[in-house]
Amino acid sequence: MHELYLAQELLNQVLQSVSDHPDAKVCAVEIEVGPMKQIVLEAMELAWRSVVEGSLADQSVLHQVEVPITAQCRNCTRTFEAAIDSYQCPECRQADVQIMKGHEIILKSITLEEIKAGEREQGASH
Amino acid sequence: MNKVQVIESVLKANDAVARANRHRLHQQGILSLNIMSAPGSGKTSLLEQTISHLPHDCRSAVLVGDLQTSRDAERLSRLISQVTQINTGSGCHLSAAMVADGLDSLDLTQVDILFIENVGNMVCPAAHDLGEDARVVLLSLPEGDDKVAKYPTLFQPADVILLNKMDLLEILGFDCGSVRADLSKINTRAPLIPISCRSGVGLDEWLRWLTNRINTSSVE
Repeated sequence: MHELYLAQELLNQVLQSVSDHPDAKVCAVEIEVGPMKQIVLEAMELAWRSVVEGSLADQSVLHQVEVPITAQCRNCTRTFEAAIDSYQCPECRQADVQIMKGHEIILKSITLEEIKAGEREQGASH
Repeated sequence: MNKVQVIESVLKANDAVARANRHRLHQQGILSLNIMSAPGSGKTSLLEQTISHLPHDCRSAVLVGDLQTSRDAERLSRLISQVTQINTGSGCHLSAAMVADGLDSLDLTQVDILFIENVGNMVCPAAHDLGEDARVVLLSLPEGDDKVAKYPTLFQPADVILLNKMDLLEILGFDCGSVRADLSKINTRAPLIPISCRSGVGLDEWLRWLTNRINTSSVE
């Protein structure tokens, strides 16, 4: 539902991160997706294709890596892997947790490629 | 080929504004609550009842989010003067930046408690920190007793869960036990308070929770 908004935020961040590489274009972006962000990977891919159009990341591939939810029980401090529909501690059976991982979407890396002279001229003519 | 390692939250822009909102509100000694639910669960009715029953020395303000119209703000303006409607257009949730703009429209020196009524939606609002101190989640009986299991990411971080429209319990055959069973796997920290904004049942317990929260935050 909010993939377009997230894709736009991601693009802003990518362009900001590569602003000191004026001779490069973005060919791949890797993100870590926590299940609690409720992102539909296919929708995110579509949103990415739509927001990058005409930007330095126009032809880039978006690699989305899903990570498990890691939770720490506030009651007995045990750390465990939770499921999207169950946060019950295997030790004390309480579902009172601090989410350590799995509730974020994180930009991990950006792969850059040098813009060839011909491409730059072509880009400039548009 | 050159790989640039980054490791930054994609929502870092939102999170930074949320932190600034939280700091700004704390500096003024204001408790803030983010109220989330599906459309039509009774968020505005809850605020009408709550504001009417709060002690007179507890000054409240409301930021109310909707895609369109200022109807909710008009309803609440009959009770208090500090109400700002935020229209998100096609946006399905409030962002920290919208709340920051909303805060600019209020006289924060005259506020003890800020209610942020989020856009009616059970998915996206849960993913965005606004800078609030606590999350209040409403579930109303006509929505069905399976919603906790269906929308776990809304209920998991809730600090209190209000089960609204209890006056319809018999008509709807809603199974409160099923809600409690689902919550035993998703959130055992938040109290579940059955209420009815129409009949008034359970509102005293909700107001006790709220008053305790106000007192705790003023001690901190």
